[in-house]
Amino acid sequence: MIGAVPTDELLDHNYDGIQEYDNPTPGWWYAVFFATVLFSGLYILVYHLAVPPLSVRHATAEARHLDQQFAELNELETGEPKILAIMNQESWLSRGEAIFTSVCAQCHAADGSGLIGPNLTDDKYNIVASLMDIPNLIINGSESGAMPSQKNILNDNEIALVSAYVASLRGKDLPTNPMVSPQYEGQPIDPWPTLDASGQVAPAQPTADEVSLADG
Amino acid sequence: MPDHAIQAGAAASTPDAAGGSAPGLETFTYDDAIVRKFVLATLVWGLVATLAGLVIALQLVLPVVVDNMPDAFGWLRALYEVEFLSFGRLRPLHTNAAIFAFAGNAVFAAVYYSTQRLCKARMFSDLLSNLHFWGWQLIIVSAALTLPFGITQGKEYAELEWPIDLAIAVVWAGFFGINFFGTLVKRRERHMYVALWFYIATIVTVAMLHIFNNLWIPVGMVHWFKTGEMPSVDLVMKSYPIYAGAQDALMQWWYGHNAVAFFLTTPFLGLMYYFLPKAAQRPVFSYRLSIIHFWSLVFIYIWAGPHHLHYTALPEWASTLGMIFSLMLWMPSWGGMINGLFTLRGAWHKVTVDPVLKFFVVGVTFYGMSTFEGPMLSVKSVNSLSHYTDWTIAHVHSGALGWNGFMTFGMCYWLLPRLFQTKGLWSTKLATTHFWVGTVGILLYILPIYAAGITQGLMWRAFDESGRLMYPDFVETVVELLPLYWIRVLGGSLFIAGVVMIVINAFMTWRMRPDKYEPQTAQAAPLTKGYSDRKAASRLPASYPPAAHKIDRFKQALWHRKWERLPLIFTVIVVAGVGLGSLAEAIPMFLVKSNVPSIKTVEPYTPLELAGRDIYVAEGCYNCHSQMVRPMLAETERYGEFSKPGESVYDRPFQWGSRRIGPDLAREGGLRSHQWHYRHFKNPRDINENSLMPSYPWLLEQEIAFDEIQGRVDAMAMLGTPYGDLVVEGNAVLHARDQAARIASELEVQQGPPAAETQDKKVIALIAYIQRLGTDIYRDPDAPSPLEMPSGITEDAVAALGTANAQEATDAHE
Repeated sequence: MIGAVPTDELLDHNYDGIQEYDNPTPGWWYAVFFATVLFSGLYILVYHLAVPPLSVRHATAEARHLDQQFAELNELETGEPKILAIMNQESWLSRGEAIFTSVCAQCHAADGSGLIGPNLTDDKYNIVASLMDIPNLIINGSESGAMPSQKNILNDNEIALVSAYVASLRGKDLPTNPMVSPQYEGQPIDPWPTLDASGQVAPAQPTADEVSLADG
Repeated sequence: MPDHAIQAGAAASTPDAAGGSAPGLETFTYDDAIVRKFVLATLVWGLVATLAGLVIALQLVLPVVVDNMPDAFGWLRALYEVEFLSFGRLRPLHTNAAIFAFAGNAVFAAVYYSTQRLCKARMFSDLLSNLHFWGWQLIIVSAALTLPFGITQGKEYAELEWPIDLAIAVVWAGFFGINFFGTLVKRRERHMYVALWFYIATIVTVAMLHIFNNLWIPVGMVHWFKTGEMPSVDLVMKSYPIYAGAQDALMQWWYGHNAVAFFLTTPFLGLMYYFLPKAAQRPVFSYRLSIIHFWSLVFIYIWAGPHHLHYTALPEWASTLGMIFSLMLWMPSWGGMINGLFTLRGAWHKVTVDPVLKFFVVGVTFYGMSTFEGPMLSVKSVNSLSHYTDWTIAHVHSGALGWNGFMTFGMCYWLLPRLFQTKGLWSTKLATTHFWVGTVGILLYILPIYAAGITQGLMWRAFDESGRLMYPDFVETVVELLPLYWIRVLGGSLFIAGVVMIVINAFMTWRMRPDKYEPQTAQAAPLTKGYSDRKAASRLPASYPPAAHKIDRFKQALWHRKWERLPLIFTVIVVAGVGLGSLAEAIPMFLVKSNVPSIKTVEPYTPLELAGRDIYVAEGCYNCHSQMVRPMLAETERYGEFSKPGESVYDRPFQWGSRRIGPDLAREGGLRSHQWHYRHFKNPRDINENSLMPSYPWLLEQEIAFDEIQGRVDAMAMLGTPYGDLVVEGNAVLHARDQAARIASELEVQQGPPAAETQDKKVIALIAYIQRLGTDIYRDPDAPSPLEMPSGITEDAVAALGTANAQEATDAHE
């Protein structure tokens, strides 16, 4: 009750006018305190005897996660067929886009129109001449280091996914970001190969010049 | 203030029940002048600390809006483009000012006022009192003069560099400690009241924490001994800790957490135990509760530090100890809250009219909330969400603003009329307004920041059904928080408005002071020798078994009553309590090698990278970037392989960080081009328009002090870093110049500026360090060591690198 003065027993202590009651520590204080002590003991037993170490738990979770993400992709033939197959499936491409956003967009801009690195949406390429040059560049990086290797943070499937997404950007023809160095302009290259109805890689349609050269 | 009666009555204390005969009273005066000084310092630094907080809160919201504001607001860019105002340098200034200047001076005011009265004695030495006061203010000023210049140890709340560390040790232990314990020795009150127990625990434990977390080698001194040359100011002020990596982390958070425990908790509990019953004029609820919660707090708190390092490269056993001792700390902490709030039984009607009690009630309530939240956050699974997020920021502000702030304000409002010997405060109404404005301010600060923390934690770990991160771009998770950050600015401003109100009230009350202060005279008898303790008698019927009688006698706590009159024994038991927990964690961590398994390919930083790392530390990058990927899917998906303890064995200080305002950098090395980093340091918003990171234009202009690099390498080598031939005078500089020239030419090839312009600039050293981060575990074990002297490097070649500095270095080498 507000203002009701308790009549508990006072001790004979008096410090600069401050007195102290002889009240016992509340029972619930002990109850909760010993409950936390008990829990702590049990926690050590369970956590350190029955549960595997953190690194093992992480490895298990990661394996399950990789399986969930990539089981389907693992069945595809690696190389061009895999990348082309990904390009043909929207759900896979969107996963490539997520990787692009987290890893590539910092230099190539979220829409691929270039920033520190070149525009990826037009027909002109600087280092890339064929489809497989994309994953190779992601794995090895460019000689100058301008395009750093990403092999330490991306696995093979992720590289295939993001390569397919990058390849799919071609043809959007966004205007190049003015920050991009003109040195990165590059040359037009052949179109990407495609998959035929049976799932075989059909070579890129050669340009007229090359046809005449081959004939000659 | 209606309680003068009880004040006057205090001097004539009732003689101790079992005490000897009183051989006549002695008359003495209390030193209130020193308390007035500490109260003044508390209020001034309180204003400085909170204003610094407002500045850094604005620094997190302004970068993305100023460009869209009218030109008249362009000057606001100074907050994120000017070297001495950079977030990484000011944030430590804010935290140090709040903890050591504001709360510190409040603690000293409380101790100096209450200890004299509880001991019935003037302080041991007026000279020590004044040396303590001025020494401490000098330390604060030197903090303000070093931190903005990037002079820092790079460990949270232990940023101040080694000369200031020494000054703190002298002022704390030498002046404050001797003065306090000297007063205990000459006291006229036989038993020590609970407030004094908490002061004892504070003084000895803070001294221990401070000294053992700040063991270092001053770099300039190593250089001086080796060469006989006077080192530069930068080198003189620089130190490397004797601990590295995971061990440094353990020591730092042992210190960091217990700074909260023994700087922001125990002395404030002492403050509460004196000023709350005084203001309420009610007896303390339970003496026996104060015994059990004091000792359990002292014995348990010291173990809890590793909960700041859950899921990091600290061994799991240490992390578990940190968690369970935090859980067990819940009730010991709440013992203080219970004793505080229950003491108000019979005085609740006074709370409605007295602003002092209002502040105390809300302060103690915030203490209760923070000390429930603390154990909760220390549970590993909760921590996996909250760690690195704003949740921690909200938690500490509920403690700092609610508990430390409001207890301080309550104490000051109670003290002002007594210290200035006025009839009352200048304006009780203004004090009440302060209370309400401050309370709303705290709520508007912490509620949005709790929301921000949880939002951030959930966004970082969100996966979609296909198993990819829902928010792969880190900046997305930052943009989401900006409206909440703006509410914080409002809440913080209200809290500061409250601080302004107490400053005005204090000033106006001071103006009402008498021409000359009355000396505060009191009388008491000196302690006599030959005191005999009262023996406990069982209160149970004789028929009970002997064990029951024994328990009953124990429960009367007369054994503790004896300790209370023996300060030395009491202090020894406190030291044993805090020493036990400290050694139990530190000894295995330092002696058992398996706690930090070594990794063959991890090598020391090159001289240039070391210089770059020191820039990273000086700029306070750790205030926003962690370097610790935890073994969790959401983290390894976002950042790459999780961090291993063996990776940071050469990190002095460790830079694992505690907060991710920006992304983790543990695996940053090699992910982006030099050119990206160069442009990003110049202006992060050129790369990402929503970035909150300050611009670092000065790093592009200032030159690397190549002549300091040998000294840095030598000091590291002295601490056991295997630098081989690089310690040969001049080699470290040659190595650094070669690497800098190489990075600068790579930068040029990557469409950056000409190498000749950049090769001696600080940004190159910082890029060298960042490009190394987290890459060693991928290194080919057969590849040449990064520490090898570049082949074919001759003095001519270095001279040909083209800068005057290079020539000087070569000359010095000859």
